[in-house]
Amino acid sequence: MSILSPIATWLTRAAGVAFLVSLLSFFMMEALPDDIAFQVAAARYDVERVSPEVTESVRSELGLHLSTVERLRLWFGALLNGELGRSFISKARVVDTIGPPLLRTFAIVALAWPATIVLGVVAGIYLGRSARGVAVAQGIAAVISSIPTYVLGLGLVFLLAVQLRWLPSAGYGGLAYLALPVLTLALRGAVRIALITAASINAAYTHPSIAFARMKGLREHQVALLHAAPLAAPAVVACSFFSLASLLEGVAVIEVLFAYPGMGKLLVDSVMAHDVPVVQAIALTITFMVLCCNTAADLLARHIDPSGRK
Amino acid sequence: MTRNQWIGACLLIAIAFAATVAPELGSNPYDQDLVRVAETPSLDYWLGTDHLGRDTAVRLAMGARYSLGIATAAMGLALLIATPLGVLGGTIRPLGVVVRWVIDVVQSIPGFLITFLIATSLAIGPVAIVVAIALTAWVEPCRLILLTTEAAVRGTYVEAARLVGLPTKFVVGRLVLPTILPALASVIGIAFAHAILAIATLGFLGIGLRPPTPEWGTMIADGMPYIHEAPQMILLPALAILATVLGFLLLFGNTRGARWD
Amino acid sequence: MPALTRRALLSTAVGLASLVSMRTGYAAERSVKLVAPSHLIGFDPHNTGHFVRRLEIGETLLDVGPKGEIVPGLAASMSLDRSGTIWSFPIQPGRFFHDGSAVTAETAAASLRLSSMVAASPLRQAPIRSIGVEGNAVVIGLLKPYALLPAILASSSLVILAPASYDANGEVRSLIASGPYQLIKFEDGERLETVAVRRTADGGPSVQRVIYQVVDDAETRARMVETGGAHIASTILPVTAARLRTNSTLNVVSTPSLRLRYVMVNSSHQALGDRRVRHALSLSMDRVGAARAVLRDQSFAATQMFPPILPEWCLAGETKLPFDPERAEQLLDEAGWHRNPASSIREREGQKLSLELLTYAWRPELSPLSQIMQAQWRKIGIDTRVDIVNTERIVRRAREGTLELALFARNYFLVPHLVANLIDDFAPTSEANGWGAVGWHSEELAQALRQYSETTNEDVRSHLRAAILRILHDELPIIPHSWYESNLVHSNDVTGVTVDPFETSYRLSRVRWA
Repeated sequence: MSILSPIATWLTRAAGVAFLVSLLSFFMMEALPDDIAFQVAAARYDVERVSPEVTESVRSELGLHLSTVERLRLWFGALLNGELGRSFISKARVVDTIGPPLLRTFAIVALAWPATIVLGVVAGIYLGRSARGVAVAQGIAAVISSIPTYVLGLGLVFLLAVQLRWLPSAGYGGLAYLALPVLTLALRGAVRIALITAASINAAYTHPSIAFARMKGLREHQVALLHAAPLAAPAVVACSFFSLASLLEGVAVIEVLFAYPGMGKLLVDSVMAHDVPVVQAIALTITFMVLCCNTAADLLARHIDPSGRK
Repeated sequence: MTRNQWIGACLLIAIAFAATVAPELGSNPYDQDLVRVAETPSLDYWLGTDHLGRDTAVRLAMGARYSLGIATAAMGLALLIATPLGVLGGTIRPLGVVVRWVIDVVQSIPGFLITFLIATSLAIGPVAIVVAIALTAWVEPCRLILLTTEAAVRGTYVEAARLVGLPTKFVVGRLVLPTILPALASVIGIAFAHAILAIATLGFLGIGLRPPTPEWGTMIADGMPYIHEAPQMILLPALAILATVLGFLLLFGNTRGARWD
Repeated sequence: MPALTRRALLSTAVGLASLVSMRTGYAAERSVKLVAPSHLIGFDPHNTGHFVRRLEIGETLLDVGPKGEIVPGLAASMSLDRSGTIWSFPIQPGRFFHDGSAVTAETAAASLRLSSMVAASPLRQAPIRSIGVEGNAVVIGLLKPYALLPAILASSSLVILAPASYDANGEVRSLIASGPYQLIKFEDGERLETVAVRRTADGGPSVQRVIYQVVDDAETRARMVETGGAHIASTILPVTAARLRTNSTLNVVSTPSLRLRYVMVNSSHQALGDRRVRHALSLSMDRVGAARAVLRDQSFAATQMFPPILPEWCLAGETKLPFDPERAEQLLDEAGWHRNPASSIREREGQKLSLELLTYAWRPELSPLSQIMQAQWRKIGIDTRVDIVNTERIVRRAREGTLELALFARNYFLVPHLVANLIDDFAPTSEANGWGAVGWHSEELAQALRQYSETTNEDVRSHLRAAILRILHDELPIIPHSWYESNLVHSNDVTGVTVDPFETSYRLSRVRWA
């Protein structure tokens, strides 16, 4: 029973958030002053072909002539049956529409997250050995965090793709196309982790167990790995999960910048095109993923903390 | 004040100065010189021109006015939402539960998602951006105020004050809130930094702005095709954003293991 | 994925075998990668982007020739009966769909009939009574003479598909067409791959595989070709084109097209209804300066309605759209709009001359051009608010009558005959379409356009053209701004790349590896 109740709480919370997000995205789309039927028709056909007749045929096809309440009811009914509906524009099933972009975004995240952690932790350990190092970490973190992610991306594109021609600048077609988006996101996230790691390691060094370890005759790197690291670990692990959440947030603008056909770009495109079912589905998916991240972060942080209570 | 805080303060003062004074001094930010398009810095145009021949220097300064203005308005609105919710939630138990739940839910939704959806769905203009940013920025200050108020209300000196006959609201207002001002300032400062970044990102995507409003993010987007002939079109607004955000982070961020995000 | 019937498998095997036996050159497996902005929205040829025809996956009954004339496509020829209401299009023999079935008059007629049921089909523009078959010819009966029917049949939407492409509801479920390339991979609206399956009349295609990828941003597309991520990038910005022309590893190909940038005017607006105000707006636009600054080529500045690409639609002599701000100020004074000395904005009876100019974002040059107009109109005392919205809002407000001004870009060859598009914009049968003239009607023009669509007599048409052009330039129901150039940039890896000014085809079957 004691295992089920936090799960139940979490599920209710998840359901609540999901409900709210779907409502939010639905009403946001409704609130747009544009006529969804026209917008979809113009996105489907050439705008010069969208006569009032075409608009009306799209409107009845998509059920947009029904009232808001009616449409919400239909959408939730379908959702409870596991159906996410069909894209307004391409008429393909929403699942099919967001599936491949989801995987492509997953590819970026799956590469960027470990990269962030590795870069950050290594840099953090290196800098954390002295107070001056921590100050350097603070400085770098401050500067890089102050640059919008897309500017960072542009800088990398210019340097690595245009000037040095090492990597492709945009698009999708293989691993090489992931390099710049991943690098941009990793750089942004790594500085934060580096700072937390450096600060935590540095603080850990003042712990009595360190002096004791040194007295025992352990070499410096053994001290670092066996004693300082576990002390610093909880903060770093928690930060890693938060960095995953902000990775998910930042991936949208990066995808737009690099013309990478992932879920973030699809979201931006779908909002512009008023493809309501796709927007709702993406909003749900992203929120769900972020929710899982935050929860995992909480759980793990509580679990790992050697001084905390279980 | 630490050395970092001094640097931050200087940066912010410089940006604020540019925002208030410069637009009056220089040439008109909307004057187009179609013959001198996308030029690098010269004697006539100290920081070059943009793709329509407008003076980059003046547009940068006007951009400062716009960004700082929107950010201030957004934070004002955010505090307007956060403070009552936090104080009332802290004093009235059931309301506190509700507010906590709302904060939880809002924090589960990626901030950019909320900002993006709201900014695109409201009518074009600064109001859309202010509202979009405010609706994500109110959360952290609210949580801080809520927790502190709650702790203080249950704390002993509130009891003591009540015994003496002072009303709870007075106690909270005069005794509790001032103690959290430093922490609150830090939270607000970081929120300001995020707001500036959000404004620049929305501007880059072309959302919520009516041309020819000068905005740093939009200037970067405009400058992308001109990266070879007039790189300052991208570099200078990027530097401006960097300086402003860094200023806030240095001045207000508590830097030891701070949550920069 | 296209449904694979046994026949399709067989024909694919045959196709592959012939592929192997074809003399294809050393790069048989390399793909040409083309990046373009048009989204891939399902298989329906009516959808925007028209990739089916542009990538030569499918063919239409009739084609567009190099001068915009209508030439044979799947139909070998066309003929008209004496009454002028029955058109006959015999189908070329020996043409097959990708599933091996033959292209016959029956299948072509069936495809057209299914198209006529789609609301956005260009067939709806023609007064069609029946689509039938007679022998090996598709026979189309009209309610009244309509000389533009061949042009309609040459539109990119009317690609002929095999019966197996359609499902029971008449919707396109797979792409079984007759072109030299066959679709082999389709990734939701972002990317597709084709492979060459048969030869064309001129011995191509040399390129065996094509990858088409959607990239929205023009600068990104150009950069992809620069950095080797793509071979061909369609539609790049003029400023990028100017820069890339100096790069010896790249080639920029461009040609004037029939896409026009113009300012839509709501002639029922209290200020804009006055012809003098419209002319004042036109006279104060420095088209040459704007073209030079934004479009990087002053020859794009419109000197009259239509570009020289259609010589019979051009008026000889000097520019019909001069830049004369003084004359503009005179006209505004005459129209009763006088400058308020304090604000320097013009007023009449206490009303400010304050207008709203809408435009949209996905053509990136429109925003800077609108800002230039805003600044130039300010100089003659007109206060303009610019709003970047989307095409939907512009069209809806035009239909509602609440639009004031809008900067729009329209392809006047969407249906491959100028007059078909002009009728749509200036003499529509019902309400304003939302991107042409708003609140303006000229019976004389409507008559002229109607007569033009009904007659094939060249002398009569010549007179009508003169009249149509005169009215359009005198009245300025829309104010032309600049002409368009269809362009693309390609790397030196490929050669033989040309641009179709009429935007019907990427002509990949003529591209060769360098």
